[in-house]
Amino acid sequence: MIRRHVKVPASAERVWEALTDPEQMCGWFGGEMAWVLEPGAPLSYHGDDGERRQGTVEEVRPARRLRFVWWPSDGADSAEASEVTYLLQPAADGTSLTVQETPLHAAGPTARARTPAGWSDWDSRLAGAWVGLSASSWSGARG
Amino acid sequence: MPEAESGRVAGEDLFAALGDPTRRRLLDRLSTDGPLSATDLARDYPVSRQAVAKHLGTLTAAGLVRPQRRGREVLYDVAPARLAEASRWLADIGAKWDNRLAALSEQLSDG
Repeated sequence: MIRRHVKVPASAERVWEALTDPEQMCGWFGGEMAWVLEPGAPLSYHGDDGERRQGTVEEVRPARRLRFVWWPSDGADSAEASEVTYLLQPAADGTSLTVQETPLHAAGPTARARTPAGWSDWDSRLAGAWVGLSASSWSGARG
Repeated sequence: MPEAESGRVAGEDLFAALGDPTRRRLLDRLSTDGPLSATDLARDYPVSRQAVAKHLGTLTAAGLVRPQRRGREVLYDVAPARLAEASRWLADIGAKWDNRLAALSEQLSDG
């Protein structure tokens, strides 16, 4: 799982708009998102890099929490569905935003609403350490 | 043998397997000193051989380690391709979010 944490100098309502309004998303998300913010509603994403994804909005709590599941539209790799969660919390002088992306086990509608267990202790710091560890372990691997 | 199984193991299994600190320590140990048996591994950790064997079963199911029978023992070794797949996902998706959140912060600071 990926987890990132940033503090931004804007109200939770303002951050929510930037996270969800397709027009504002063009400025930072890296592509065009088409979605309706209702649980169960479909979403469609066209990345600036040509990547196309589709998915489903799962949970909508304005200015607090958004969760969606998405996967590659070409279906080339069914293991690539993942769940994205935004968590917003008011903080001094702004808003604290946490983003999580977690791989799910199957593409398509069956991937909906799955939340893998066992992740509570694995923050982005550990994930980073793992990238380093696995990179260094290849040289000693025997095939 | 497990590596001959067709198809991919679920990403959920892979990351759930990696989500446990004891299993990460076992993988770490195997990547430097493997192949080792469950008994070898249990010697270094404050957990029973049975607990180690159970964790090794989870790691095997996720495709992260490969068991091989040697005489009366089963030895375990890291399956590097599977671990590479996990770290590639973390690196790729992590970099995307780093870029997105940097741009988002900038956008919100300007406005």
